[in-house]
Amino acid sequence: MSDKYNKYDNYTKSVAYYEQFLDKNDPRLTYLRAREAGVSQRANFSQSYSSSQMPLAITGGRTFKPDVDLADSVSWAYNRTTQDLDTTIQTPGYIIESLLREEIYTERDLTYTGCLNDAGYKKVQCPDLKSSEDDYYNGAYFINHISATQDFVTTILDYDGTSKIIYLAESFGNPVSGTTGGVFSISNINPNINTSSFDLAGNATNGSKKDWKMANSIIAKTSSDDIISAICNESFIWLVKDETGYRLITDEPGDIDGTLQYHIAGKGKVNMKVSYTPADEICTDFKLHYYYSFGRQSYLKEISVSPKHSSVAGLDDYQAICASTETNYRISKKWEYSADWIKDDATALAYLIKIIKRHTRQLLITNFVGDFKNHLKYIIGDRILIYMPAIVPDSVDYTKVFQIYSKKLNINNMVIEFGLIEMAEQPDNINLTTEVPEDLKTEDEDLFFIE
Amino acid sequence: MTLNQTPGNDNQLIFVLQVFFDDVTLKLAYKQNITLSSVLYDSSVLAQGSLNIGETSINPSFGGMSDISTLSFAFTRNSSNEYLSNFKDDFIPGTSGRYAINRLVRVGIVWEGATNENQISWINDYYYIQDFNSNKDYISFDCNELSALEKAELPYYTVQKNVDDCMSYSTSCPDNNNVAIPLLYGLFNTQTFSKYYPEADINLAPAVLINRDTLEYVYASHQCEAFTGSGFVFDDRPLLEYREGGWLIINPANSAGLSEYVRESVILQSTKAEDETLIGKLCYNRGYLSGKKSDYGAIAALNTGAGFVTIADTETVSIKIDGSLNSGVGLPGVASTDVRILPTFVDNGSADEYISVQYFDPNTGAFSTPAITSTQGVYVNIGNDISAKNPAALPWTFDQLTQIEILITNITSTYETATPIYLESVTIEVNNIIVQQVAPANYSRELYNPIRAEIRAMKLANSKGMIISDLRI
Repeated sequence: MSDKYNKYDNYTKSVAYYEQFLDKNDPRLTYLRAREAGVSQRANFSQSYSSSQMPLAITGGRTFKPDVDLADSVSWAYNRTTQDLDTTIQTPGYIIESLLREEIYTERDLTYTGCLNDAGYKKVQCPDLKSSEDDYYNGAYFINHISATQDFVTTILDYDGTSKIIYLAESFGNPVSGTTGGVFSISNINPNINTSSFDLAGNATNGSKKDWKMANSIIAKTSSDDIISAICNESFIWLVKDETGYRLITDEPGDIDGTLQYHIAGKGKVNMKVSYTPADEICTDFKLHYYYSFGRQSYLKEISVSPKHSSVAGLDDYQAICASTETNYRISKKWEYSADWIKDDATALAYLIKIIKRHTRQLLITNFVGDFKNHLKYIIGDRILIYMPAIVPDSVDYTKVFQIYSKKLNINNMVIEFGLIEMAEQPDNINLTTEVPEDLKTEDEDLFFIE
Repeated sequence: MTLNQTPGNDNQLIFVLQVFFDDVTLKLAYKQNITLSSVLYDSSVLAQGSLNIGETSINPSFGGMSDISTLSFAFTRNSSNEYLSNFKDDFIPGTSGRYAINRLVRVGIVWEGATNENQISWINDYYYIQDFNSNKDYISFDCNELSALEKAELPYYTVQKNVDDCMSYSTSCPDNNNVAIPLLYGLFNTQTFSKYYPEADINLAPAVLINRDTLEYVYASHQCEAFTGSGFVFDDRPLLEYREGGWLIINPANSAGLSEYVRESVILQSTKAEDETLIGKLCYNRGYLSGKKSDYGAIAALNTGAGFVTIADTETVSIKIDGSLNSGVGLPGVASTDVRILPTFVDNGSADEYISVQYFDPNTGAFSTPAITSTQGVYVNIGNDISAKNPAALPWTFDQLTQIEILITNITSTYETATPIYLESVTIEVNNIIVQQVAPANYSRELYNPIRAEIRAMKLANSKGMIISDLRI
């Protein structure tokens, strides 16, 4: 039922924009090129679905809109995302953050047994609350289902775990002092979210994934980690939980977090290997299916590229890459995937390009063993350089940017073991100095030996 | 990771644990005692070599969630700790023993010389004891990060199945049995929700709406939205009623004193009719519409079997005719009369009535300039209207026409004595279709065969809706 004109912004953008998504033979491109050239042309782009073929519309994402009664201070979306709150949040990171705050760290169907305005607070007692730990609900959102007309949401100011009493601002209208029995919910209960990492990905102004859009229908009882994993998978982000809380990692090139150089040898040997991702991951022919229609039970769109063709102009550059991969590796292999969360053409293109960059050449993999003192600060997802001129090739040493994908604290040997992989997309400028810094010249002297 | 204490040049690193049993929080150190904030972190409890933290990793080949990290440690039998003096009976199944399963364990580090607990750098504080076992020397504990994500399930609904499984509701959706209903949840109000519809790439039919504030779930067998009162209240009355013979009854709220936040609308999709030809929609929409700022008066009755909608003087009714066509045959012509809107009315006995007709332009977000006409069978010609389309020079498309939204306002009192009028139907005629695309060799004939392309006649059971007539190919 969708209007394809709206879908393509009514064709108000440049031809180059639409060339990214539309099939090269699409008559709409013929028209748009003519229009851009000022040539009068009768439109003839009437692609069709018969009525029985009309895709059942689907939707996804989440909506956030601080209403007139929702104080700005309790809306994480309003405060941080800098995006139009009238629209669905479709960026993958913020969908995940929303699931964490509004669905997972939430207690629902709570009934209060007493309410009293006292000393500037509205004290709401509820034995149903799960936690008896003081301050446990501080900062969470109290969502009022008592009145449909005013004061829907406010922040919990304090919590007495022993008596299970929530402290709200006395000015908050509901529940009314002296009443009992109303129903409320609490969301955003200590979600422990590393918000800066989510903003790096999703900020509407400069987030590295700000233009990625995810949407899907939830059609079966599904655990939230399955849903989050699927979103992460199709947007090249990783959700990790560490001492900073839930943290989002992206594969986008960014600032370098440090240089690894103090490698610790074991039993007199520098046990550092440089290898490649498996050759059987090399592919030369890529096809992505997306825009799944539940009504038709099929994917309505696809884009593809191979040594002999590319389906959209945005993949033209990768046709030659596929060809050279076939020549260099003597491999001809197909990669095909059906994306359930991708409906957006630009997102589909961005996703497939990332796949191509990972599968048309082998990426370097290495390991690094360091001491606690200098290396505990590094965490999974950090972008780092390696300075080991005696060990690694010159083209890698202090040149290639790696990303930490595993970290193990080896307590018995008191070392930290990192797994590193070359970033498929290297930063354009890693601000390397022309001369090797002085502190990077002594790695041989800093090798430690564990017997 | 930011360390809470700066390590000295040669300071020893000490691992510390906090184990949160119900009756006590054990504070332990590994291999070496340390006193922090005047509390001894006892190293006599943890067995030498027993502390192990598993690897944490992500799969770099594609996005996802990190592996759940693990932690293991063991208590020795010969501990001098006052809380662990009974060894084999300290924990369930020992009589009066503690529960250990699912108790929290925090692990962190400090450097030798630390004096305060705030100098601990916590590595991870979400380990929970998942298993333990004992022998004559040790009680060993295995911990995992507890994944709260595994325990949260998100709601879902599907359209009616053959049996009532309490998870499906839409009983009259024959074309869509067992098809998932799209789920849209979050925080809604009228302004938010109204923005969905113009975003045609995300259409909400059918849909389940979940108001996060009120926790009300509203489902639609096809597509609906309903708001009454002020703010976020979904109407809890049945929006749709089915009657014998395929009648669809709309139950709009009959509230007076519409305010800024009042809005109600119902969009019906007739999936199958007696003559098997009905595939289309009729939308009744009242309240704030895009681009409009004035209140609309209440309309007493709509489509209750009388065969018409009563529009009192100065009242406006919005008709959205939403359907779909196989449009591969071509495009409507661009002459004025090639595309026409024809509202028809039941005679009200009055000599003259006047209406204004507008249609919504999704590109500009506003309605067209009102076309003033009497009610006596006068067409509103829109075939040459280029303002509502973008690019402006293009002809109408069938997709646009089958989703066009029309406002009809009773303006009789502007010219004559005020009188109600009875809207019977709204027809869009397409009188001239330009066949323009013969299937090129590299196109599927399924898509581009102009001979096989069909324009379906569309109407609703009680003759309200759209009829494509005078099809010329």
